[in-house]
Amino acid sequence: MLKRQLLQYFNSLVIILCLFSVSKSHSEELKDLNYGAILYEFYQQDYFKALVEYEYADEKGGIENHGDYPELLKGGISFSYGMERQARDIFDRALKGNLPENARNRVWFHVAKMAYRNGDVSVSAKALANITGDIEANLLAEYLYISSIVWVQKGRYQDVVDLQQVFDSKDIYAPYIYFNRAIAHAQLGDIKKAIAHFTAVSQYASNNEYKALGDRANLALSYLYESGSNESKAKKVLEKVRSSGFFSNQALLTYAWLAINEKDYKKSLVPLKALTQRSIAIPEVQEAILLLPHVYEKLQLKGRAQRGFIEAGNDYETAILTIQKLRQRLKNTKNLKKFTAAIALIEEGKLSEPSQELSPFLLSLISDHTFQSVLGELQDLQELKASLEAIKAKEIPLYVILSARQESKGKTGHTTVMSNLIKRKNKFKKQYAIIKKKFAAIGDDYSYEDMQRLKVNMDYVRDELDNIEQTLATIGESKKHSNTVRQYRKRIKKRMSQAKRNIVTNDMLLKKVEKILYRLIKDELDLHEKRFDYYLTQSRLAKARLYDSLLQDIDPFQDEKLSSESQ
Amino acid sequence: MMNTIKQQLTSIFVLLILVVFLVPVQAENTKDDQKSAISSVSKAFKLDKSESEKRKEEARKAVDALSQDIQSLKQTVIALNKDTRILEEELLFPANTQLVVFLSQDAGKLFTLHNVKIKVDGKIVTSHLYGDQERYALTHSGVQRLLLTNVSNGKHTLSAIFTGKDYKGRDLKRAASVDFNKMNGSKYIEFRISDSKAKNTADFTVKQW
Repeated sequence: MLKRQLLQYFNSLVIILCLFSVSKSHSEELKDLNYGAILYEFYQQDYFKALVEYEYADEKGGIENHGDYPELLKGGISFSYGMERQARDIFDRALKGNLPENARNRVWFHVAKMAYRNGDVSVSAKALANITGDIEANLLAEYLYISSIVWVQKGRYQDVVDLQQVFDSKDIYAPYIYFNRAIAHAQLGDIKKAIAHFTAVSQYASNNEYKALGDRANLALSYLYESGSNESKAKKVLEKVRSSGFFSNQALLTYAWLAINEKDYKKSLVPLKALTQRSIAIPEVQEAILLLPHVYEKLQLKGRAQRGFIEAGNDYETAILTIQKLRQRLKNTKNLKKFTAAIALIEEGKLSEPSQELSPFLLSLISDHTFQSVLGELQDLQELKASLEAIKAKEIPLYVILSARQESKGKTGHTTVMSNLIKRKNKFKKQYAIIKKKFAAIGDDYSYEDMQRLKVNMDYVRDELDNIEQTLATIGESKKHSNTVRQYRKRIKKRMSQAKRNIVTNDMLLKKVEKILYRLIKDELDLHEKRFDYYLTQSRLAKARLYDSLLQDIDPFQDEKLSSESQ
Repeated sequence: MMNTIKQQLTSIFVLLILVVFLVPVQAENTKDDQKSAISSVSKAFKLDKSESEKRKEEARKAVDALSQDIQSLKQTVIALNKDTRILEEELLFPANTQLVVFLSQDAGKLFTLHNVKIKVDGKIVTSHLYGDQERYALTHSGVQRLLLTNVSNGKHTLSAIFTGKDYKGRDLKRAASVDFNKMNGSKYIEFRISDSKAKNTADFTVKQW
């Protein structure tokens, strides 16, 4: 969960940061409303709608007066929406163009980030190598973060150390840069600097993500101190790991083991007891449940040890049953959907009551990167399906609208009306020609009344002719309209059959992704079960062994004596 | 990101587990069978983990194999949405009667928008309530397509009533209005809310595109 939230947070932030210079300059004067409409969806992180807006604007003549930014924005949105291929095409095209150095750097940086996110570290490294000159100030920290993480993964630790040292320590990426540098220094054997950088990380605590990173840094510090035989410092930094944080389980167990290794069994009791109060779904807790009675045994508290092994066995049996039921339940696609829906609700902070499907046994899996990427594809496909069904639902309303338009504008039977009108038009045309001829041939023998009569007649014929021509023109328009109606019908039919076809494709892909997701869930539950089986066997063996020794050497007061001594 | 850090730390923690966890335990194995069993669990757990990682890698590959198809589908559905939207607009809001109303806001420091009501010739035709995300989008160059409707050719009055809070958190209600002449072709009108530092208040203006 933590990872997912962090990933989402940074992904959105990454894009926003990259576009910062774009939005800043355009907030003052937006030159194309369509561009603003895309940004409106983009800033609400509705990437699908933002891309639809972009395509709409493109169809309506494109976005004017904003240069290359809209296309780069499209690349960024496509990237965020998991359309890496489209994003890559856009960035490749942009790089072939005549871009200024800062814009080129920005594009290369996008490419590097995209490749890194896809797990292609080599491509990411190559893209980073194309960045020349100074990187823009607002991208610097993120650039240092991506570069350091890529070089660490490539084993180029010296390159990490050689990266620009000066950056804003208040930047959101700062603790991550320190962390990567600490790793590089540790790998290069400069433990002093590694400790200094890990210590710097542990100073950041303004939010939960930083606190979690600080916990990790403290765990790493404990290792560094431990390897330098400085166990007291190792314990001190372990004590700094939050008792309720994500990494506290690991810290508590490590602390307990450190004490056990020093044969300081009593000291190991506190972290082990704290762990056994937590959910059995946590692997460290599972181990602690078995380790605690073992420590009692070492303290010669055989009664407690025996009770502990019995309770551990019961706990493991109950957990195995829960896992088996859960696995069976999630095999059902409907329940799997409920499970993914519950995760979505948690991510939106809307889950008000515990979900039957959202077992603690799956919490660690939910925060796994692979699981998240599969889940992301599944959620995208579910949203696409909803979108396609919404289009399909428009079929009848669109036909009704079309029919209504047809009824209001055009009627059938135009052909007869038109032929009658044409006949009348020809008749009036002839009459008009005759009258006009007569009028031209007027001589002195015509009286004023005759002339007026002829003129009225001529005007009448002219008006009739105009009316007929106008009617014919209207009918012509109407005919054109019925052609348009036919075209609309074709378009609706085409869109609807496209929607139907895509629903089929979507369903097929959904099934495949659901299968992969279920496989991941099953593997996780199998892993838990396998571990529980092993622990169960160990607890039973320990129980039998203790019974055996107790039968041989029973001292009913031993526990009480030792207990009072230990207090 | 956390995953990457996790990956980075893996190497350290493998050593950590080896040094802190397994090595001392293995050293004590000869002395203590019970402890040996627990350390075996740890080893088994580690082996299971690597098996689990292998399976996750397989899942990643399986999803990658589907990724191209999913990306193509996304592209098709986006295009289909655009086509359907254009078709709907042509049928319901033909250009000769089409009126589109937009809303934009600049910094939004002097006015927090809560609600807007749009009137055409005195009749309320739409209203909208704003959430944080929408406000954020508006104040970052986003432009909301607030209304798409039909009006006849000729003179009309378009007005907007904005309610929200001023920079001191006080309720604020403002209106902006424009008379326009609808001709053939689509009509685009934008309401703008902008901070006026000089007046220490927000300005509500209208632009006809």
